[in-house]
Amino acid sequence: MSVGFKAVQWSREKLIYDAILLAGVTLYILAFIGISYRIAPPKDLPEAIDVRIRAFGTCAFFMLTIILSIGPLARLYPWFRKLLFNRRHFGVLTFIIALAHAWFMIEWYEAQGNLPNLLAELTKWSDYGKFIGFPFKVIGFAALLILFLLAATSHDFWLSFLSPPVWKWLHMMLYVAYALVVLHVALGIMQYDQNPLIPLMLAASFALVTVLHLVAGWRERATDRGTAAASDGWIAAGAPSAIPDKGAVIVVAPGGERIAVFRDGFEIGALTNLCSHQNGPIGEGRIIDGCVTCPWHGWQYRLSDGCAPPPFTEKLATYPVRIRNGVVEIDPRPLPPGTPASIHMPS
Amino acid sequence: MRRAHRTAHRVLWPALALLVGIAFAMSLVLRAPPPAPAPPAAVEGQR
Repeated sequence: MSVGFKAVQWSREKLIYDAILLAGVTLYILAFIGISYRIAPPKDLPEAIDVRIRAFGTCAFFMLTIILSIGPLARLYPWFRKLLFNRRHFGVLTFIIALAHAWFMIEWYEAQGNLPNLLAELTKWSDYGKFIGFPFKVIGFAALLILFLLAATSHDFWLSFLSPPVWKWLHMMLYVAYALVVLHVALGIMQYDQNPLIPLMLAASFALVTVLHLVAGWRERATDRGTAAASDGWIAAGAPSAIPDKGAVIVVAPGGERIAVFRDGFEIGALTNLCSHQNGPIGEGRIIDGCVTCPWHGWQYRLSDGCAPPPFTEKLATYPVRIRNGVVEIDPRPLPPGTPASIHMPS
Repeated sequence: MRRAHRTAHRVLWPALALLVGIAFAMSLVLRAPPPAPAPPAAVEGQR
Protein backbone atom coordinates (compact mmCIF):
# COMPACT_ATOMS: atom_id res chain seq x y z
CA MET A 1 0.00 0.00 0.00
CA SER A 2 1.73 3.17 -1.14
CA VAL A 3 0.85 6.61 -2.45
CA GLY A 4 4.14 6.97 -4.29
CA PHE A 5 6.48 4.60 -6.11
CA LYS A 6 9.05 2.78 -4.04
CA ALA A 7 11.06 -0.04 -5.64
CA VAL A 8 10.88 -2.15 -2.49
CA GLN A 9 9.00 -1.11 0.62
CA TRP A 10 11.44 -2.29 3.25
CA SER A 11 10.23 -2.79 6.77
CA ARG A 12 11.89 -4.18 9.89
CA GLU A 13 9.99 -7.45 9.44
CA LYS A 14 11.13 -7.80 5.82
CA LEU A 15 14.75 -7.12 6.76
CA ILE A 16 14.62 -9.77 9.50
CA TYR A 17 12.93 -12.22 7.11
CA ASP A 18 15.57 -11.62 4.43
CA ALA A 19 18.45 -11.82 6.92
CA ILE A 20 17.22 -15.21 8.20
CA LEU A 21 16.73 -16.37 4.62
CA LEU A 22 20.24 -15.35 3.53
CA ALA A 23 21.82 -16.80 6.66
CA GLY A 24 19.97 -20.11 6.15
CA VAL A 25 21.00 -20.36 2.49
CA THR A 26 24.65 -19.46 3.23
CA LEU A 27 24.83 -21.95 6.09
CA TYR A 28 23.30 -24.73 3.99
CA ILE A 29 25.68 -24.20 1.06
CA LEU A 30 28.77 -23.91 3.28
CA ALA A 31 27.76 -27.00 5.27
CA PHE A 32 27.08 -28.98 2.09
CA ILE A 33 30.45 -28.06 0.57
CA GLY A 34 32.29 -28.59 3.88
CA ILE A 35 30.80 -32.06 4.46
CA SER A 36 31.35 -33.08 0.82
CA TYR A 37 35.02 -32.04 0.99
CA ARG A 38 35.46 -33.99 4.21
CA ILE A 39 33.84 -37.18 2.86
CA ALA A 40 35.47 -37.11 -0.59
CA PRO A 41 37.91 -34.26 -1.22
CA PRO A 42 37.74 -33.21 -4.89
CA LYS A 43 40.76 -34.32 -6.90
CA ASP A 44 40.55 -31.62 -9.55
CA LEU A 45 38.68 -28.46 -10.57
CA PRO A 46 35.73 -30.22 -12.31
CA GLU A 47 35.11 -32.27 -9.15
CA ALA A 48 35.20 -29.12 -7.03
CA ILE A 49 32.70 -27.47 -9.40
CA ASP A 50 30.53 -30.60 -9.23
CA VAL A 51 30.24 -30.16 -5.45
CA ARG A 52 29.05 -26.57 -6.02
CA ILE A 53 26.52 -27.75 -8.63
CA ARG A 54 25.07 -30.19 -6.09
CA ALA A 55 25.14 -27.70 -3.21
CA PHE A 56 23.26 -25.00 -5.13
CA GLY A 57 20.95 -27.49 -6.87
CA THR A 58 19.79 -29.17 -3.66
CA CYS A 59 19.50 -25.78 -1.95
CA ALA A 60 17.21 -24.46 -4.73
CA PHE A 61 15.14 -27.66 -4.57
CA PHE A 62 14.63 -27.44 -0.80
CA MET A 63 13.80 -23.73 -1.09
CA LEU A 64 11.16 -24.50 -3.73
CA THR A 65 9.76 -27.22 -1.47
CA ILE A 66 9.47 -24.76 1.43
CA ILE A 67 7.95 -22.01 -0.75
CA LEU A 68 5.31 -24.39 -2.08
CA SER A 69 4.53 -25.61 1.43
CA ILE A 70 3.98 -22.12 2.88
CA GLY A 71 0.74 -21.48 0.96
CA PRO A 72 -1.21 -24.59 2.06
CA LEU A 73 0.33 -24.48 5.54
CA ALA A 74 -0.96 -20.91 5.95
CA ARG A 75 -4.43 -22.13 4.91
CA LEU A 76 -4.31 -25.00 7.40
CA TYR A 77 -2.45 -23.32 10.28
CA PRO A 78 -2.69 -19.49 10.51
CA TRP A 79 0.70 -19.34 12.30
CA PHE A 80 2.41 -19.90 8.94
CA ARG A 81 1.03 -16.59 7.61
CA LYS A 82 4.17 -15.09 9.15
CA LEU A 83 6.12 -16.74 6.35
CA LEU A 84 3.68 -15.68 3.65
CA PHE A 85 4.02 -11.89 3.63
CA ASN A 86 7.54 -11.85 2.19
CA ARG A 87 7.40 -15.05 0.14
CA ARG A 88 8.26 -13.12 -3.01
CA HIS A 89 11.78 -12.39 -1.71
CA PHE A 90 12.09 -16.11 -0.95
CA GLY A 91 11.12 -16.86 -4.55
CA VAL A 92 13.57 -14.37 -6.07
CA LEU A 93 16.41 -15.78 -3.96
CA THR A 94 15.46 -19.31 -5.09
CA PHE A 95 15.76 -18.21 -8.72
CA ILE A 96 19.22 -16.73 -8.01
CA ILE A 97 20.38 -19.99 -6.38
CA ALA A 98 18.96 -22.04 -9.29
CA LEU A 99 20.71 -19.71 -11.74
CA ALA A 100 24.01 -20.24 -9.90
CA HIS A 101 23.42 -24.02 -10.16
CA ALA A 102 23.02 -23.67 -13.95
CA TRP A 103 26.04 -21.37 -14.19
CA PHE A 104 28.29 -23.87 -12.35
CA MET A 105 27.10 -26.57 -14.75
CA ILE A 106 28.31 -24.45 -17.69
CA GLU A 107 31.56 -23.78 -15.80
CA TRP A 108 31.98 -27.54 -15.29
CA TYR A 109 31.97 -28.08 -19.05
CA GLU A 110 34.24 -25.10 -19.60
CA ALA A 111 36.78 -26.34 -17.03
CA GLN A 112 37.21 -29.48 -19.12
CA GLY A 113 37.24 -27.61 -22.45
CA ASN A 114 34.03 -29.45 -23.30
CA LEU A 115 31.55 -26.62 -23.73
CA PRO A 116 30.60 -27.77 -27.29
CA ASN A 117 29.61 -31.12 -25.72
CA LEU A 118 26.84 -29.37 -23.81
CA LEU A 119 25.36 -28.10 -27.06
CA ALA A 120 25.78 -31.56 -28.62
CA GLU A 121 23.95 -33.10 -25.63
CA LEU A 122 21.06 -30.68 -25.93
CA THR A 123 20.72 -31.13 -29.69
CA LYS A 124 20.97 -34.93 -29.84
CA TRP A 125 17.41 -35.24 -31.08
CA SER A 126 17.29 -39.05 -30.86
CA ASP A 127 17.57 -38.75 -27.04
CA TYR A 128 14.30 -36.83 -26.92
CA GLY A 129 12.49 -40.06 -27.81
CA LYS A 130 13.90 -41.91 -24.80
CA PHE A 131 12.66 -41.89 -21.24
CA ILE A 132 15.89 -42.88 -19.48
CA GLY A 133 18.44 -40.82 -21.36
CA PHE A 134 16.09 -37.89 -22.04
CA PRO A 135 18.15 -34.67 -21.99
CA PHE A 136 17.32 -33.82 -18.38
CA LYS A 137 19.20 -30.53 -18.58
CA VAL A 138 16.50 -29.25 -20.96
CA ILE A 139 13.90 -29.98 -18.25
CA GLY A 140 16.04 -28.03 -15.80
CA PHE A 141 16.33 -25.10 -18.23
CA ALA A 142 12.54 -25.08 -18.70
CA ALA A 143 12.06 -24.91 -14.92
CA LEU A 144 14.69 -22.14 -14.71
CA LEU A 145 12.87 -20.18 -17.40
CA ILE A 146 9.63 -20.36 -15.41
CA LEU A 147 11.47 -19.29 -12.25
CA PHE A 148 12.94 -16.34 -14.15
CA LEU A 149 9.50 -15.28 -15.34
CA LEU A 150 8.13 -15.47 -11.81
CA ALA A 151 11.11 -13.70 -10.24
CA ALA A 152 10.96 -10.92 -12.86
CA THR A 153 7.27 -10.31 -12.14
CA SER A 154 7.57 -10.58 -8.35
CA HIS A 155 6.96 -6.88 -7.88
CA ASP A 156 3.87 -4.81 -7.17
CA PHE A 157 4.36 -3.02 -10.51
CA TRP A 158 3.65 -6.27 -12.37
CA LEU A 159 0.90 -7.20 -9.95
CA SER A 160 -0.85 -3.94 -10.72
CA PHE A 161 0.00 -4.00 -14.45
CA LEU A 162 -1.23 -7.56 -15.02
CA SER A 163 -4.08 -7.37 -12.44
CA PRO A 164 -4.14 -9.73 -9.41
CA PRO A 165 -6.08 -12.58 -11.14
CA VAL A 166 -3.73 -12.71 -14.18
CA TRP A 167 -0.68 -12.39 -11.92
CA LYS A 168 -1.96 -15.29 -9.84
CA TRP A 169 -2.48 -17.46 -12.95
CA LEU A 170 1.08 -16.69 -14.00
CA HIS A 171 2.49 -17.51 -10.58
CA MET A 172 0.61 -20.80 -10.41
CA MET A 173 3.17 -21.91 -13.02
CA LEU A 174 5.43 -22.52 -10.04
CA TYR A 175 3.60 -25.84 -9.56
CA VAL A 176 4.67 -26.88 -13.05
CA ALA A 177 8.24 -25.68 -12.42
CA TYR A 178 8.41 -27.84 -9.28
CA ALA A 179 7.21 -30.91 -11.18
CA LEU A 180 9.87 -30.22 -13.85
CA VAL A 181 12.56 -29.93 -11.18
CA VAL A 182 11.55 -33.32 -9.72
CA LEU A 183 11.81 -34.87 -13.20
CA HIS A 184 15.13 -33.07 -13.82
CA VAL A 185 16.58 -34.76 -10.72
CA ALA A 186 14.90 -38.14 -11.34
CA LEU A 187 16.17 -38.39 -14.92
CA GLY A 188 19.47 -36.68 -14.12
CA ILE A 189 21.59 -37.22 -11.05
CA MET A 190 19.37 -40.06 -9.77
CA GLN A 191 20.39 -42.11 -12.82
CA TYR A 192 24.13 -41.62 -12.30
CA ASP A 193 24.48 -41.56 -8.54
CA GLN A 194 23.28 -44.61 -6.60
CA ASN A 195 23.09 -42.72 -3.28
CA PRO A 196 19.71 -43.81 -1.82
CA LEU A 197 19.30 -40.38 -0.21
CA ILE A 198 18.55 -38.83 -3.63
CA PRO A 199 15.31 -40.74 -4.40
CA LEU A 200 14.34 -40.60 -0.72
CA MET A 201 14.78 -36.82 -0.54
CA LEU A 202 13.01 -36.34 -3.85
CA ALA A 203 10.01 -38.56 -3.04
CA ALA A 204 9.61 -37.24 0.52
CA SER A 205 9.71 -33.58 -0.58
CA PHE A 206 7.27 -34.02 -3.46
CA ALA A 207 4.94 -36.15 -1.32
CA LEU A 208 4.94 -33.50 1.42
CA VAL A 209 4.10 -30.66 -0.97
CA THR A 210 1.45 -32.73 -2.77
CA VAL A 211 -0.30 -33.87 0.42
CA LEU A 212 -0.35 -30.31 1.79
CA HIS A 213 -1.87 -28.94 -1.42
CA LEU A 214 -4.43 -31.75 -1.69
CA VAL A 215 -5.54 -31.37 1.95
CA ALA A 216 -5.74 -27.56 1.74
CA GLY A 217 -7.64 -27.79 -1.57
CA TRP A 218 -10.04 -30.35 -0.11
CA ARG A 219 -10.83 -28.11 2.85
CA GLU A 220 -11.43 -25.11 0.59
CA ARG A 221 -13.89 -27.11 -1.49
CA ALA A 222 -16.33 -27.30 1.41
CA THR A 223 -16.41 -23.49 1.72
CA ASP A 224 -16.79 -23.01 -2.03
CA ARG A 225 -19.94 -25.12 -2.18
CA GLY A 226 -21.84 -22.03 -1.02
CA THR A 227 -24.82 -21.25 1.14
CA ALA A 228 -28.34 -21.74 -0.17
CA ALA A 229 -29.95 -18.37 -0.86
CA ALA A 230 -33.40 -17.36 0.33
CA SER A 231 -36.20 -16.88 -2.23
CA ASP A 232 -35.23 -13.21 -2.67
CA GLY A 233 -31.58 -14.17 -3.29
CA TRP A 234 -30.17 -13.01 0.08
CA ILE A 235 -27.88 -15.41 1.95
CA ALA A 236 -27.73 -15.91 5.72
CA ALA A 237 -24.51 -15.22 7.64
CA GLY A 238 -25.86 -16.21 11.09
CA ALA A 239 -26.79 -14.26 14.17
CA PRO A 240 -24.82 -11.03 14.80
CA SER A 241 -23.29 -12.61 17.90
CA ALA A 242 -22.00 -15.48 15.73
CA ILE A 243 -19.73 -13.01 13.93
CA PRO A 244 -16.63 -12.51 16.07
CA ASP A 245 -16.13 -8.90 17.16
CA LYS A 246 -13.39 -7.30 14.96
CA GLY A 247 -13.45 -10.48 12.88
CA ALA A 248 -15.52 -11.99 10.10
CA VAL A 249 -17.44 -14.97 8.85
CA ILE A 250 -17.17 -15.92 5.20
CA VAL A 251 -20.26 -16.68 3.14
CA VAL A 252 -20.48 -17.81 -0.46
CA ALA A 253 -23.35 -17.56 -2.88
CA PRO A 254 -23.62 -20.74 -4.97
CA GLY A 255 -21.20 -20.35 -7.88
CA GLY A 256 -20.07 -16.95 -6.61
CA GLU A 257 -17.01 -15.43 -5.00
CA ARG A 258 -16.55 -15.39 -1.23
CA ILE A 259 -17.94 -12.52 0.85
CA ALA A 260 -16.42 -11.46 4.18
CA VAL A 261 -19.02 -10.31 6.73
CA PHE A 262 -17.28 -8.29 9.44
CA ARG A 263 -18.56 -7.00 12.78
CA ASP A 264 -16.96 -4.07 14.56
CA GLY A 265 -18.95 -3.67 17.76
CA PHE A 266 -22.45 -2.77 16.58
CA GLU A 267 -21.44 -2.15 12.96
CA ILE A 268 -21.82 -4.97 10.43
CA GLY A 269 -20.56 -4.75 6.86
CA ALA A 270 -19.89 -7.11 3.98
CA LEU A 271 -16.92 -6.80 1.62
CA THR A 272 -15.56 -8.96 -1.15
CA ASN A 273 -13.16 -11.51 0.33
CA LEU A 274 -10.55 -10.50 -2.28
CA CYS A 275 -7.99 -7.92 -1.21
CA SER A 276 -7.28 -5.48 -4.05
CA HIS A 277 -3.53 -6.05 -3.65
CA GLN A 278 -3.01 -9.78 -4.25
CA ASN A 279 -6.57 -11.08 -3.86
CA GLY A 280 -5.65 -12.26 -0.36
CA PRO A 281 -8.44 -13.56 1.92
CA ILE A 282 -9.62 -10.36 3.60
CA GLY A 283 -12.15 -12.30 5.71
CA GLU A 284 -9.37 -14.12 7.51
CA GLY A 285 -8.01 -10.79 8.71
CA ARG A 286 -9.04 -8.63 11.68
CA ILE A 287 -10.24 -5.10 12.25
CA ILE A 288 -7.16 -3.19 13.39
CA ASP A 289 -7.23 0.55 14.16
CA GLY A 290 -10.81 0.67 12.89
CA CYS A 291 -9.93 -0.82 9.50
CA VAL A 292 -10.39 -4.26 7.99
CA THR A 293 -6.81 -5.53 7.60
CA CYS A 294 -5.72 -8.18 5.10
CA PRO A 295 -3.83 -11.01 6.81
CA TRP A 296 -1.31 -11.31 3.96
CA HIS A 297 0.31 -7.88 3.64
CA GLY A 298 -1.68 -5.64 5.98
CA TRP A 299 -3.60 -3.62 3.36
CA GLN A 300 -6.47 -1.80 5.10
CA TYR A 301 -10.02 -0.78 4.19
CA ARG A 302 -12.89 0.93 6.00
CA LEU A 303 -15.71 -1.44 6.91
CA SER A 304 -18.37 1.16 6.11
CA ASP A 305 -17.56 1.58 2.40
CA GLY A 306 -14.58 -0.67 1.50
CA CYS A 307 -12.34 2.34 0.81
CA ALA A 308 -8.72 2.40 1.98
CA PRO A 309 -8.18 5.24 4.46
CA PRO A 310 -6.71 8.46 2.96
CA PRO A 311 -4.26 9.07 1.36
CA PHE A 312 -4.66 5.58 -0.16
CA THR A 313 -7.11 5.10 -3.00
CA GLU A 314 -7.86 1.35 -3.19
CA LYS A 315 -11.51 0.30 -2.98
CA LEU A 316 -13.28 -3.01 -2.44
CA ALA A 317 -16.74 -4.05 -3.60
CA THR A 318 -19.30 -3.97 -0.79
CA TYR A 319 -22.57 -5.89 -0.38
CA PRO A 320 -25.96 -4.82 1.02
CA VAL A 321 -26.54 -6.13 4.55
CA ARG A 322 -29.76 -6.49 6.56
CA ILE A 323 -30.88 -8.17 9.76
CA ARG A 324 -34.05 -10.19 9.45
CA ASN A 325 -35.51 -12.33 12.24
CA GLY A 326 -32.27 -11.92 14.18
CA VAL A 327 -30.15 -13.22 11.30
CA VAL A 328 -27.60 -11.18 9.32
CA GLU A 329 -28.34 -11.53 5.61
CA ILE A 330 -26.26 -10.49 2.62
CA ASP A 331 -27.34 -9.69 -0.91
CA PRO A 332 -24.66 -11.48 -2.99
CA ARG A 333 -24.94 -8.95 -5.85
CA PRO A 334 -21.89 -6.69 -5.34
CA LEU A 335 -22.19 -2.92 -5.18
CA PRO A 336 -19.65 -0.76 -7.03
CA PRO A 337 -16.33 -0.62 -5.10
CA GLY A 338 -16.38 2.03 -2.39
CA THR A 339 -20.20 2.14 -1.96
CA PRO A 340 -21.24 2.68 1.69
CA ALA A 341 -23.24 -0.40 2.77
CA SER A 342 -22.56 -1.27 6.42
CA ILE A 343 -25.38 -1.14 8.97
CA HIS A 344 -25.51 -0.38 12.68
CA MET A 345 -27.36 -2.68 15.04
CA PRO A 346 -29.41 -1.06 17.77
CA SER A 347 -27.24 -1.04 20.92
CA MET B 1 -7.29 -16.54 -4.73
CA ARG B 2 -10.45 -16.40 -6.80
CA ARG B 3 -12.86 -19.25 -7.21
CA ALA B 4 -11.39 -20.10 -10.65
CA HIS B 5 -7.87 -20.29 -9.18
CA ARG B 6 -9.05 -22.60 -6.43
CA THR B 7 -10.84 -24.83 -8.93
CA ALA B 8 -7.73 -25.00 -11.14
CA HIS B 9 -5.62 -25.73 -8.06
CA ARG B 10 -7.86 -28.64 -7.10
CA VAL B 11 -7.65 -30.10 -10.62
CA LEU B 12 -3.95 -29.45 -11.15
CA TRP B 13 -2.47 -31.03 -8.02
CA PRO B 14 -3.96 -34.53 -8.38
CA ALA B 15 -2.92 -34.50 -12.06
CA LEU B 16 0.63 -33.36 -11.21
CA ALA B 17 0.88 -35.91 -8.40
CA LEU B 18 -0.17 -38.71 -10.73
CA LEU B 19 2.12 -37.74 -13.63
CA VAL B 20 5.17 -37.01 -11.50
CA GLY B 21 4.53 -40.11 -9.36
CA ILE B 22 4.45 -42.36 -12.43
CA ALA B 23 7.52 -40.70 -13.98
CA PHE B 24 9.42 -40.94 -10.70
CA ALA B 25 8.54 -44.63 -10.23
CA MET B 26 9.58 -45.39 -13.83
CA SER B 27 12.86 -43.54 -13.46
CA LEU B 28 13.58 -45.52 -10.29
CA VAL B 29 12.65 -48.90 -11.77
CA LEU B 30 14.40 -48.37 -15.11
CA ARG B 31 17.64 -46.91 -13.82
CA ALA B 32 20.80 -48.88 -14.49
CA PRO B 33 21.86 -51.23 -11.68
CA PRO B 34 24.93 -50.21 -9.67
CA PRO B 35 28.18 -51.51 -11.19
CA ALA B 36 29.08 -54.91 -9.76
CA PRO B 37 32.27 -54.98 -7.66
CA ALA B 38 35.26 -56.27 -9.57
CA PRO B 39 36.07 -59.96 -8.88
CA PRO B 40 39.04 -60.50 -6.53
CA ALA B 41 41.13 -62.07 -9.32
CA ALA B 42 40.72 -58.97 -11.48
CA VAL B 43 41.66 -56.77 -8.57
CA GLU B 44 44.68 -58.93 -7.94
CA GLY B 45 45.62 -58.72 -11.62
CA GLN B 46 45.42 -54.93 -11.55
CA ARG B 47 47.98 -54.77 -8.77
